[in-house]
Amino acid sequence: MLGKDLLGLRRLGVEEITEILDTAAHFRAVSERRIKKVPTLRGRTVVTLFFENSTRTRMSFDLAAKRLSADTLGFSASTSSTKKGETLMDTARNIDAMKPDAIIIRHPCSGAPHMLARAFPWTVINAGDGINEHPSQALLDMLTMRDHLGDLAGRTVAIVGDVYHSRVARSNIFGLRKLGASVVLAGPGTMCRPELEQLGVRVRHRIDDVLEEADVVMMLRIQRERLEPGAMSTAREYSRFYGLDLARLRQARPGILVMHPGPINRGVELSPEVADGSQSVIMEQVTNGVAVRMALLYLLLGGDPLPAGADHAVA
Amino acid sequence: MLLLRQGRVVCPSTGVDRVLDVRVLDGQIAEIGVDLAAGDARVVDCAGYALLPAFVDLVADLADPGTTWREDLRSGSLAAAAGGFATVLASPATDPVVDSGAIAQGLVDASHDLPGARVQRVGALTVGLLGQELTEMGSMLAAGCVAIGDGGRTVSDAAMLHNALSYARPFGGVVLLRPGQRALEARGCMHEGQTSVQLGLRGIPAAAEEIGIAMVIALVRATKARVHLTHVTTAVGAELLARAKDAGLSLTASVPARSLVLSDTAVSDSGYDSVTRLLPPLRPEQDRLAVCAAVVSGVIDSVCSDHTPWTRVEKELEFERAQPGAVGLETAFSATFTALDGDLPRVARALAVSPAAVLGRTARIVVGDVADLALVDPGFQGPCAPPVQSRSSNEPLVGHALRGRVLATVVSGRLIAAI
Amino acid sequence: MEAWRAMTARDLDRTVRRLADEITERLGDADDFVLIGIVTGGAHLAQRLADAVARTEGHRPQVGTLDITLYRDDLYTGLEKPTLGVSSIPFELAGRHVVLVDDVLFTGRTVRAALDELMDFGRPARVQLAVLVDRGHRELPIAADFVGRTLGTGKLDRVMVSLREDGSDHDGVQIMRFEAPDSPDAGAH
Repeated sequence: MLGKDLLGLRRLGVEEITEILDTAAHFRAVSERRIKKVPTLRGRTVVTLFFENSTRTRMSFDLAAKRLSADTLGFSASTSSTKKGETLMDTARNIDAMKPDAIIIRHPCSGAPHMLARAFPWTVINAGDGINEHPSQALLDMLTMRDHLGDLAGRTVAIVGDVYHSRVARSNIFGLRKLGASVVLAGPGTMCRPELEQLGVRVRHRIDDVLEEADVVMMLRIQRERLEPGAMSTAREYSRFYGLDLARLRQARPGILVMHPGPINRGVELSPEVADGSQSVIMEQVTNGVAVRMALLYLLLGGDPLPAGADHAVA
Repeated sequence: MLLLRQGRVVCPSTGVDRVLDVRVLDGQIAEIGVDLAAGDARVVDCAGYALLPAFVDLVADLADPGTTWREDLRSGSLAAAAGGFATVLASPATDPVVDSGAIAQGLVDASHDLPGARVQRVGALTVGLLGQELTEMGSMLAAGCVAIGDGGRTVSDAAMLHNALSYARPFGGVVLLRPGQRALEARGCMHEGQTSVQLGLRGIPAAAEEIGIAMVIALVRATKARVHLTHVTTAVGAELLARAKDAGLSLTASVPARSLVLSDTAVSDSGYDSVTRLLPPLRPEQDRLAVCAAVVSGVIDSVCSDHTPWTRVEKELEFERAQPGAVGLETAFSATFTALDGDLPRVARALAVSPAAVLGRTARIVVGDVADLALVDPGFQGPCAPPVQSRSSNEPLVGHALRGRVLATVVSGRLIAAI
Repeated sequence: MEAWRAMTARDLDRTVRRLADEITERLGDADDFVLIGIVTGGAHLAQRLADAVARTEGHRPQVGTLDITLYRDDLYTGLEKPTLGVSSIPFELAGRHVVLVDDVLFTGRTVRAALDELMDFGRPARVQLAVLVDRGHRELPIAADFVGRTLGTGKLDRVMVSLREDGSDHDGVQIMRFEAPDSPDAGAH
């Protein structure tokens, strides 16, 4: 069973990951109904607290909460008092005074969600912290892989790009290893450092070194804002050794899945023909995102001991 | 007048290690012997406890003047006395920075008549601790500063450090240097290794400290300056130091006491709690063990508190945004005693004799010497308690199983109870 | 605690056939209504009812399922979180005549939840309720239109419907009695 929070996949067990994925598969059906809403979390308040810009993750969580009938409230660092120097803990204390049930936080610092989870009684869901984890993204990635490949045990997933600074990659590595998949990395030496092998993955260099054996290739977005100066050469050189285009895709296993957490830098890590090609499941990832986030909210919030008076069992 | 009766007197300088009575009179050790008559002296029963030369701390940030909500001279002096220290060197990293003769004079004068340990001043090596211009080292030493150094800041520019050491040498004061490399340290917030990779925190490679130590060794060889390296915390760093000493280089070094008992897994165990954010960062277990061994062998001769008080204002933040550092004056003895497995002569050497020698002093229990003594209970065991005297409470050792505790400190004959 | 069998496999089979007859008698041809079973017991019973209708009428009504987990009003009561089942209504509901099927009618809360969910799928012309067992103790103004068997139970008793489709080795209904059926709205009607 999941605990109070979802901070990452590093400490989750196989049973918990499987439970989330199985539940998410059910929630996909809700989004296909005419009335895409169930009353499950009626009266619960979910706050999205985003200290980094992100349209899609925030929309996805927002929609997930709304489809479960929770009330949602958005808090953006750009429009709030954090610009005036308020600390994260003070912001959280203010939100706490409004009696939320869950906070979905994205923050540029690794460990920021853990700090809130330690200090407050409400549920904390990590929507991306620094270079640490982005568990809901990894879960939707794994759900998408499972849809196409079934059991992921024994499968090989290649992750290509700036793995060192990618919370998406790290959450995927933790989750995929637990489900028994093998993970192999490729990328520039500054972004795909040998110490990553301590996470139980194999570290290679060029994309050609990993494409042949992969059932899935996950292309990461180059995020210059997370790189220290001097950690990357030109985009042209990057694309030459680590980018995925049609010619390279032809050398891969037939049926290989091409994934990307979005937004794509077209022409850098992924050529447009590949991004929109038949091997690409990028749009399925987005659809699954809502289902996974509904499952997380349901599993984390749906069973809390709550109000007196709601003590009748259904028979 | 004070009679410390029946304590185990441990004095590495004279080789004494047995149960004796010690009489203190007029701030000095007046008599040492067996069954000394009490007379009208205040008698302290020390049976079962140990008397050590009081400790000398080379590395402490007392935050006064400037940020006295973190610590002030009075609270810092009391915290030091609570930890068995009779002397504590205050870092020049204050506001204003102690980087001119005039500022040094004012602060040396203000540091008298404190209720606990005596506080002595370190003058900055570079103006504003910025690593760019030389300070008035000569004037600061003349004003009463006892050492020169940039506190926790590191001078990474080799040409600048070469100049600073060359300039400092003829004045005679010891230069305290934290070995490091600023650009590499700016990149992360904990030791780069297995734990940082697991936690997704940006790492500081051990290379930062190794480069710093290698650079200092080369420049000491070139300038013949008297240097004490503070914060040697890596296995490779200790090895570089050992080799330099073998080659006949005169160089001393210290390590923060907490680094002898805590490793970088404290960061994961605490769940990203910023109380475990330090500079230099906590190291992996194999480094911790190597550094302990280096203290035992004497390669690292001294242990310091590296007392760096921060309040909630600076610490109740995201891990990578919180200020690095922890208090340490009140726990340094227990941490050292635990790490050195209860070897009191070795603890006395690391906390008292060697750091005193760095300042050209002695720390002994000898008739006629100033009565600076630490009374400790070697039998005590228990989880480390939060600091009592310091104005800050950022202590990552709290709750950690430690051995031994300080019961009282005698500073110039004055008895200050620690508990 | 005592336990006894309230319905044997034969009782159950006969009851299902009778319910099917009653439904067709009152609602007409298999094309005129649809059966929607509440997961899990009701879903299996809906299939059995459809089979029974098919045997007598030669024509099988359409069958859907409703999993009411997401509509429950006791998700916050600290009970173990129920596993999600599948709601599947693969046909147009608007204007249809729906027979909601459940195994046991008790407080009425399940039916309340099922009605709410049903409305989110579409707007049926009419909804009626068929249950295998009515055990009393209603907490909401809900009544069944087709009842297989009325059983007097104590409020704390457990009524267990075993069906082979659920992995049971037999069909039947068992009552585990924890108190006498003495409350005024319990007992045999």
